[in-house]
Amino acid sequence: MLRLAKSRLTKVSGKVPDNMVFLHADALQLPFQPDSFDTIISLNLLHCIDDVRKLLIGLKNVLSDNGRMYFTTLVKGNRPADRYLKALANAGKLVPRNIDQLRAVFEELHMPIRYDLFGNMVFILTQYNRGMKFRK
Amino acid sequence: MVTIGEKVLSELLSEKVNFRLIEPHIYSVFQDIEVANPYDTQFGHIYDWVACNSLYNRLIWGYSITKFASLARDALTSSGKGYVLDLGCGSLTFTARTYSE
Repeated sequence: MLRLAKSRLTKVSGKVPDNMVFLHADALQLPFQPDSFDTIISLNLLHCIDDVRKLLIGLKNVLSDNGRMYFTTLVKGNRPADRYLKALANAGKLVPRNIDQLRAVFEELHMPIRYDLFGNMVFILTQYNRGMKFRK
Repeated sequence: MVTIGEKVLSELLSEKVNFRLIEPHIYSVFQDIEVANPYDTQFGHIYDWVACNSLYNRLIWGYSITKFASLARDALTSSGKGYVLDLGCGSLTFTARTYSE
């Protein structure tokens, strides 16, 4: 997949930009130093992960104070496509959740979220501040 | 603009982590074995072709894939001077153009 990404990037811009590098690693065992990143982007990964809580704990560790995280993920949305989502889940291709279930995991980790839901796709933004406790 | 080579990468990685160059611009923290998942196989290519299709996403899932580029742009413009991690970057279908800017 990373070769495909590199190929696509090279096709678009002629080369891999000097400020980018690809690293093959385990998302649930991130190999980075604490506070390494100001921003984390993760598109369409959460619905592939059984243990979202473990993933978020790892991300919090490598995110700098006041850093931002951006996610997108498929969720159940009270739409006909929910049945397709369930079929994909039964085939072991993803983990179906609704936005409330996801939000509960973020909030448990003191990561309040803002989100926009379009169909079955949710776009999530969270800013983590180590001194902040979530309040409803 | 910071050039990310092995020196910067080694500074970002935990001390106990070893990494190796697979090919230019691609590194791995896995040492002796080829680690892969279903997305690295033919399934991944099919998935990439189907799941990244704008019509498929509009009709089935009810959203526009252009929103991914908007999100990536927002993320990059709000990130200041620090490093950005794209976790599970896939094939960069939705983000390659934004990242190349």
